[in-house]
Amino acid sequence: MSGVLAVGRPGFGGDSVVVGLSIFLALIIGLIAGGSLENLARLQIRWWPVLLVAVALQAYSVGHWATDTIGPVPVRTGAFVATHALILGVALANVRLTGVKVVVLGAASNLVALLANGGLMPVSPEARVAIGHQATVDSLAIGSVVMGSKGVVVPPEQANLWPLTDIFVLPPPFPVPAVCSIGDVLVAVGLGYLIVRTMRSRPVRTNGGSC
Amino acid sequence: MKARISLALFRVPVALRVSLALVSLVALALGAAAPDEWGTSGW
Repeated sequence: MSGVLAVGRPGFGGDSVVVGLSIFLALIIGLIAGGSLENLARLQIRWWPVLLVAVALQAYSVGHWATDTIGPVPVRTGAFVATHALILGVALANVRLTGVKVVVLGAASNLVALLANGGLMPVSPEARVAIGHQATVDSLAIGSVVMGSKGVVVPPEQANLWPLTDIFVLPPPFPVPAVCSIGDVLVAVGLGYLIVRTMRSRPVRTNGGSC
Repeated sequence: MKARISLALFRVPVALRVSLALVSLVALALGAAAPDEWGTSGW
């Protein structure tokens, strides 16, 4: 991994939108299945402030790959992996919730893939071409780290633990073309299941001491 | 009228708790999936 940085275009996209889309879809499915948004009020996520801080730090560290304000690449990738481990810890603290075991598996899978590849997520040039980023792939050398991304351009044969890396291509006409890992899929499925189950759950009623 | 006000007062904390749950779920999803392109559409 050369640590070469390539500049991306401003704006949001890729699998961040896919993850958001999965939550939105889960909310729609929950409503269609007769669930209620109000039931989500009963969802008590432990350590949620830690979660928000970790995600903010993660966004900051990855979003500033191409600047020198937060240290050299190894420091940035180290900070990124540390925040990812923190988020896995929060998921483990909430493992009692339906579906979160799957989220833990997904987050652990992503963390292992990151650790095996120097804190970055390998993605093949072919996968990026498949989602319509031919022009930028042409300008990137193998091993390039892309600004604002955890990704590094690496052919499958050079990636460690390739099956855990970004290998699932969602090409056009998918509204938000992206490349995801098996970990991303597990996180989306687990959280989707948690949302639908919570929305459809019935409130626990007490007898009020009537007998 | 009194019942309506009570209902509205009841719903405010419910809406806040729903919002907090949704924000936490989105944060967990984004953090655990470690999405590409924080702040850029990259590539």
